[in-house]
Amino acid sequence: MTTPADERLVAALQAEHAAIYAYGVAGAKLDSGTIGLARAADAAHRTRRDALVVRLSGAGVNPPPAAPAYTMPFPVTDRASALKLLALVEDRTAAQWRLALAPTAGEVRKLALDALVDCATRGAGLRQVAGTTPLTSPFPGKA
Amino acid sequence: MRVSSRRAVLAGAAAALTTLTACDIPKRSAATWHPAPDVLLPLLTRTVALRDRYAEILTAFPALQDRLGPLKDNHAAHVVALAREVGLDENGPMPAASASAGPVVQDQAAVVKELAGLEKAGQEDATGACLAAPSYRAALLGSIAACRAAHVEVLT
Repeated sequence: MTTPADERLVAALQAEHAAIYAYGVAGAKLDSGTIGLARAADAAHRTRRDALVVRLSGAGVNPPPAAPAYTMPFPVTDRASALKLLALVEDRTAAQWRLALAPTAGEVRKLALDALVDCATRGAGLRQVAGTTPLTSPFPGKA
Repeated sequence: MRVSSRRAVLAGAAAALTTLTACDIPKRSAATWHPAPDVLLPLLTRTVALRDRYAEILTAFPALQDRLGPLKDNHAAHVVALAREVGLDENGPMPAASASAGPVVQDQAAVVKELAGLEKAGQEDATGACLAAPSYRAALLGSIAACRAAHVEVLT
């Protein structure tokens, strides 16, 4: 039986799959000044994805695999559009993790909160290197 | 006529009864009803202090407005949200910190460093509150923690 918490974690896993795909698309358009940031972020998303797969499998929930491809919300043609995509991806992933806070408790809520915090932090860092404002929002993950 | 006057008597008696009861109940409830202060009040107080520290620093360094103003606005939004959460009027008086953070040092790098330290402590504060919170408050507190973490990122 799938609990509301499991459903939210599955949605978060799907967001992490999409984020990893987006980092692959954007990576090709980044320069030496931003590729390091993107690589570290990509690695963090993969770590979180793996932790989620382990947790869901342990709870008897079948973790959904990544889709073969994802549609990008706009063409990624240069550094600016690549950074814009990644900031958007961090916002969307943050939103899924934020939704996982209410139905969870204890260490699972901690997992969700750490992920939300990391998405918000990376989003701010990406907007900083992109030179876009505002750098931060008062309620990350809130639509 | 008779019926209506009997009704009037009854109504009068009912009113008298109401008056008596009304005198009685407040006394009793005042003696037994002690609502516990909301557990988020200390977090609200510290959030007010954080917002006000930004204001003090911005008064001393108006040139930092572009960089720090949006962060201060985020804290102001947290004050409003937390005040609503604990049932306070967000436009009314807010609980104030007992001690001032002290004078603003005349060194731009030092004040930014001070704020980064306050944000880091504030992030831990909101993290603890989120992890201890009931479901219905978890998202708000989690977002506040995440916002403060993002502030640390842009200040350091």
